[in-house]
Amino acid sequence: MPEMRAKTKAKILLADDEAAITSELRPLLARSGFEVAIAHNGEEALHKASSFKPDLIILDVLMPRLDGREACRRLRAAGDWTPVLMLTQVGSSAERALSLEEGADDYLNKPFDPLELVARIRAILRRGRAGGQPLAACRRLASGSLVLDRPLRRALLDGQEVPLTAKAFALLEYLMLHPGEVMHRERLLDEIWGWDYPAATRAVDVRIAELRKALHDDAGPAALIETRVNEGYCFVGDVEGSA
Amino acid sequence: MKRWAAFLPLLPVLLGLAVGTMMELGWLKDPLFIGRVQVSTGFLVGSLGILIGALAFVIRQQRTHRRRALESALAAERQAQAEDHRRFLRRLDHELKNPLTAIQAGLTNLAGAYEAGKEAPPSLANLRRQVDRVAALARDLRKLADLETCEVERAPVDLGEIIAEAVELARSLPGYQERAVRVSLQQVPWPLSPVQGDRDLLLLALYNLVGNALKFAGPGATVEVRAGEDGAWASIEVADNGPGIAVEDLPHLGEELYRGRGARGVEGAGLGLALVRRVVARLGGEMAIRSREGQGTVVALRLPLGQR
Repeated sequence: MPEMRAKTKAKILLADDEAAITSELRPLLARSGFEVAIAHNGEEALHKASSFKPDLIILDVLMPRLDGREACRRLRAAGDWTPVLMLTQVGSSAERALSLEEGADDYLNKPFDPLELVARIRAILRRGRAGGQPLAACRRLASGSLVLDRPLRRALLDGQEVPLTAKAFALLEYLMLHPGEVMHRERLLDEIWGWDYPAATRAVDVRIAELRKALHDDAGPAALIETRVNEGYCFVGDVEGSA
Repeated sequence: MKRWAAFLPLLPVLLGLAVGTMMELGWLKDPLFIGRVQVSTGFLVGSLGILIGALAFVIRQQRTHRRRALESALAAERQAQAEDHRRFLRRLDHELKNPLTAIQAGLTNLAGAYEAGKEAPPSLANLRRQVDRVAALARDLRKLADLETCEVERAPVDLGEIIAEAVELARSLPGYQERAVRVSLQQVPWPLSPVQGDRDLLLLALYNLVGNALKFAGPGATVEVRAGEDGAWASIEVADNGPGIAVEDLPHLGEELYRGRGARGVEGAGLGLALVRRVVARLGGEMAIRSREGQGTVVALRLPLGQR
């Protein structure tokens, strides 16, 4: 598992008020090849964000003094776009709208498999961006002639509105927020449907089919959403975000 | 009070008839004297009748009013209980979250410490499995609570299609491939109309019911899914001729983590029916369970039909 190809280790700032969690996650992240600093509340996280200069910040939502959401908002307001992984779930559409405001890059719900945490961190770091806004904070996402207007929940293809169910829109949005990442059906169910049960993964296939049909992506080689056999789905188009 | 109140509206008619007959027979005089005051018998009887009628009307109004007040108080109480319950589940989930996160990370660290040289003791793998189990339970409980507030789509759903899918999914579970499930859908005089609901939630509910039937009825039993129309409702029944459910267990089915006597020794946490009950409630329907010990069980759902 230890993977230390990079000459300089990526720096992670972990902010959580539970000592039991930070004391276990710190060696785990270190063994995965990261340099780790710990903060115990939101205020400390903001201080260390400027002194430690992390490549990624993990913020727990419920923290004393300053909670994770507010810390993230202040960071963004100050023009700091260091990737943020928020430890909470954004299930409902109301929360999703809220997450757009706070500008975190990804969300992970506790309790989580620690290896999933490492995988998410790597995915965010790989996505990389030159100091710009994360896709998660963009109101519009574009890939070729496909444009998503997130606040209005509308999808446009060549300027024409594509009729999509709320579920299909949320699925497309999630895939476009994680371009190039292979998404397991279980994860999509968990993130968008709010439940995952064995064998319920068919629900994902049905919505993907709906999306492909609506986006005229169902003939010939997949141009936007690719199926990875035994793995899941992957948005393979380049995604650009704009405020 | 209840019995005679029902006859009150009839009383003026009976009174009129009786007085008329008595006057015909000469038993009653007209006019009558009350003390020194002379009153027309017809007028007296008429006023009495109106009075009784008015009284009957007032009593009836009061009773309906009281009944409605009681019903709404009961409904409010049930709602408050459900709300309490939901809050409890969220708090429980919240309290479990952090320790579980720490334990999972700690166990991964322990396993990592063994990776280098010698083999990890079997207890470690066992511990991880058990922690995963608790984590999964916490997650499922939270999802159940979320079902109360999640978005529900309202679109026409083809029941035949969704039943076929639920049966196929349940039969794809390990150990159920060889099991037969009979499906019968109303075809005559017209095929079943689509229901108005959320396709994914409905599939989840039906999949759970068919899975439950296969699981609890045992290998030798027959499982049948029937669907038909009943006025503005679709009725879906999942029936089996398995061992049935004990009478004392019936009222508690659908409570989280409740497991009847028949469920002992069968895998599961007792969340399936709780999930179905919530889904059906969110879709504006009802769930009822009929069972006879030794004969089998029927779970009946009623769901609102869409426009034809």
